[in-house]
Amino acid sequence: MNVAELAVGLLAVAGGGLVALAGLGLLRLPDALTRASAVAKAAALGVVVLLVAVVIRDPSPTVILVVIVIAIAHVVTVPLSGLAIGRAAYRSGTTATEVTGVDEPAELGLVDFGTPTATLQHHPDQPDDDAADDDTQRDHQGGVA
Amino acid sequence: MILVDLALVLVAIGLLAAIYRGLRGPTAADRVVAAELGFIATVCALLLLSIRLEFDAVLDIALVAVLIGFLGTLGLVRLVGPSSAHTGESEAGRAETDGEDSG
Repeated sequence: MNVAELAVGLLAVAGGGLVALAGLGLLRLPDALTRASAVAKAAALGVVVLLVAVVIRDPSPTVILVVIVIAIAHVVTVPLSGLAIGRAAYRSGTTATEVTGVDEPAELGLVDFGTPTATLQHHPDQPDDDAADDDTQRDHQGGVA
Repeated sequence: MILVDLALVLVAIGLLAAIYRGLRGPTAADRVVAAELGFIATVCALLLLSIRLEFDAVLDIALVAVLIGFLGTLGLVRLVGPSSAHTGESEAGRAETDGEDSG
């Protein structure tokens, strides 16, 4: 009994520490893409560790069932939301590619979802759509300021 | 139980970092990342409270919070930056966001 309680406490501290680590990454990392990566990985593992602690504390069938449902829902949805955030951040053109280092979609010419802003590679053969250009310039100014 | 209290303090530290980044974050994507960490810290706090208070019904709230957090993140992501301006597949979505911006 005492061993189980100690295991619950240590797993709880590990899960809370992973959330605090995600917060540290959110404060210290330089870019929206790297911040999204840190939050997705650390926080997903933290919630799963806390779910294991909940099961050890009370291993009854209803608790195990609810915990399994929470674990599946969380593990499936967190990478999807991280992917959506990274995609939106790249598409908004405010990710600093000189910090991130690699801009593979622009190098391979795969930028088909529109990133004609100043921080990314601007294709010279791409015609400037006036309405879209107004949109991106306004949003880019708002993003930098 | 003191370890569970320590874990709650750690989750509060992560939540404070998310609040700082949400208020200060230079781009809209940073604010969405901060909101996602806020959702996840809320779920962790609910799980720790179910351990601390020995009250299993909080797990149902945690399940609902996980699902609503995912949907809320997807909803916030739609507000980030210029939506797909050069693809033909989501012209309706682009017109919708432009209307929201002008209104």
